[in-house]
Amino acid sequence: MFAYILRRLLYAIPILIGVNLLTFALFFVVNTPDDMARLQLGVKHVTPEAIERWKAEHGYDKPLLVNAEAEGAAQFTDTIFFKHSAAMFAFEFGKGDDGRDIANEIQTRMGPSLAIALPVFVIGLMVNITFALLMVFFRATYLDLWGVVLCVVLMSISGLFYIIAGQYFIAKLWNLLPISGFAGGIDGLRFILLPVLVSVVAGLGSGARWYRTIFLEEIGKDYVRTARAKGLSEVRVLFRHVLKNGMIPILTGAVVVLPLLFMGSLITESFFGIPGLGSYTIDAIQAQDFAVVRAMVFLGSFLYIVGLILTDISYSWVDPRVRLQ
Amino acid sequence: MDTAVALNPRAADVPESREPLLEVSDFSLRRGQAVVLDGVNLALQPGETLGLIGESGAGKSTLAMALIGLLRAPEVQLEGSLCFRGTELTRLREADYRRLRGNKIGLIFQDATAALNPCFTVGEQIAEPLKRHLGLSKWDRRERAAELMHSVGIPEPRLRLDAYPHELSGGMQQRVMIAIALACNPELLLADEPTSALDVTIQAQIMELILDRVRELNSSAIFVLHDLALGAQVCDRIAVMYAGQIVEEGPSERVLASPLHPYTRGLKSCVVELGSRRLEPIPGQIPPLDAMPAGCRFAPRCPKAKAICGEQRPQAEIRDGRQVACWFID
Ligand SMILES: Nc1ncnc2c1ncn2[C@@H]1O[C@H](COP(=O)(O)OP(=O)(O)OP(=O)(O)O)[C@@H](O)[C@H]1O
Ligand SMILES: [Mg+2]
Repeated sequence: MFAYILRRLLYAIPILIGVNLLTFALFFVVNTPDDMARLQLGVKHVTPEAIERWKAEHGYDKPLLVNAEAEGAAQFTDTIFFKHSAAMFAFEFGKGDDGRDIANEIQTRMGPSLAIALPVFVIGLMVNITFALLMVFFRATYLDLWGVVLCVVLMSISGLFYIIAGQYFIAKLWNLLPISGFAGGIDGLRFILLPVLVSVVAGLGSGARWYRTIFLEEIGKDYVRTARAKGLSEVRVLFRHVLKNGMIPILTGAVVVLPLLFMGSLITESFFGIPGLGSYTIDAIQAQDFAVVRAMVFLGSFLYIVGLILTDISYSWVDPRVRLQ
Repeated sequence: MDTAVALNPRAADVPESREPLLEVSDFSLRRGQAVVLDGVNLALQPGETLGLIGESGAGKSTLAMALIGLLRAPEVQLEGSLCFRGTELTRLREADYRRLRGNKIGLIFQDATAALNPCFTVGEQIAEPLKRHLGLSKWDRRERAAELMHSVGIPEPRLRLDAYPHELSGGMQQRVMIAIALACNPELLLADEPTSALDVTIQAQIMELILDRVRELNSSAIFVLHDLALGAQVCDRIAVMYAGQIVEEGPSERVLASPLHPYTRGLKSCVVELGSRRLEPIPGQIPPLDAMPAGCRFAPRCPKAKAICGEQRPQAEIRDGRQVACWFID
């Protein structure tokens, strides 16, 4: 098990290098520092001097890969690639355009992101599974049919609609919860409730429908007939035998997003004014703060790779037939 | 008399007057328009074993599933009566039926690998009916599960209690399946082709095991089998099924020695002449459910069929101590 994880982590290194090179190509070769400067300074009346000054201020005035003017190792270290791309391996992301340290910013913003994303993940999973199991329990009846119809309707509506409707009705009209904002500690609970509720409802349609298919596939299997032949009630057959087997694809499918929860949700956070990584990214994109966007792309890829490794490990946790070696 | 029965619980010694454990009368099962089981009559005395023989699609599994109540309305439509220990099963409430399932009626499936839940240990799976029907405590369940595993010939049962099904061989899995079916000492055991998914070398062992356990518990059993000779060898009685009907039913020796129905004859000659297990005794196959002949369902394939066979359905007659449904019993 330990050897397996170690090996997977080693495999992850080349992938991360690839991700890093790709980010480098995107941010410095395709979109050169000159382009960045021009975008930042506005298209009109940009003098070459202004561009050079901007590049110097932001540390983009070095050569891309090889610094011919430097001596020895500095030939390779005193470059944009080393300072801005390779440094990301050490989670050194440098500073954003606002002058704040990005790594620092990520650390403080992970908390608020998690405060929303984690409850959405856990509650969403439970709600979706329960709803799916109920539909399966009433399978081939009108309740099941209307459940599926509801799911399709729910998943056809844009996510923005849920946010706006939630804010309008629950916050504005009925004054039940604050419309947006965030606070730390217990005090923050009232700010968290609405975005969590809205996100769970927005995810219900697709989640429950998918899980229903998984459970329906399980319920046709022979072991379910055995469970019934033991005299177990349908509820017990479903919530014990079918649920445990259905959890294998559900959990392993969900685990991959687990690390990405740290990054929060772009849209939810910006609509609800959550000072998390999601709104940080959105703001950076709008402000064309390339350092931040670059950092978030790299962080996202890194967390995704962690998610893939966790998925493999989770198989061995939930499925007794799988042993890692 | 009683001791004689206990020593040799074979059909011939069981007095006719005893209340049958199971009585199936005029039992039909429909799936919408298709009549899958048509007027089945069977009686099973306590301690008796019955072999249900017939080719693929005859409705053997359907009958077994109907008996244990896993095929009921509204999924299928039932007619006639299934009387078990004086209880009418077709009208039994689902909750009461559940009290019989896995308790008084046990079922062994063909493919144990698929029939066992891959996510639970075999100990947990054997313990489930013990909890459901006998209400044993956790510790007692474990003890009893180990005993049951021992009784079905699983070596070192205590070590295997916490094994998952995939860690056992196919034969061991089928033994676990048998332990589950017998956990609550059922009075009726249904075994749907219990050995056909297994390696030929262990088929006999498993068959022997089930028979031993059934005799020990003095239970009745219905074995669904493909092979007439095997059925006659291991069961007290034989019921030959064709296209949802029982064409001949009676004591094993007599059915095998002198089959009365042309279909049974075909089955027998197949076994004798080819010596193979494959069932293709007579050219042709069972007609599809939506195109059943109006008269005798076997008529299109029968070498002795006359005009009447195609027109009218023969009623089962008692002849030579067995029931036969044919117009021309000679
Ligand atoms: N779920 C189902 N839906 C519709 N028809 C079915 C279903 N299961 C079985 N049947 C039909 O019922 C008839 C009897 O099938 P059954 O499985 O009882 O036969 P069997 O005698 O057990 O055959 P085998 O030896 O292949 O197991 C067949 O014609 C089959 O096509
Ligand atoms: Mg069958």
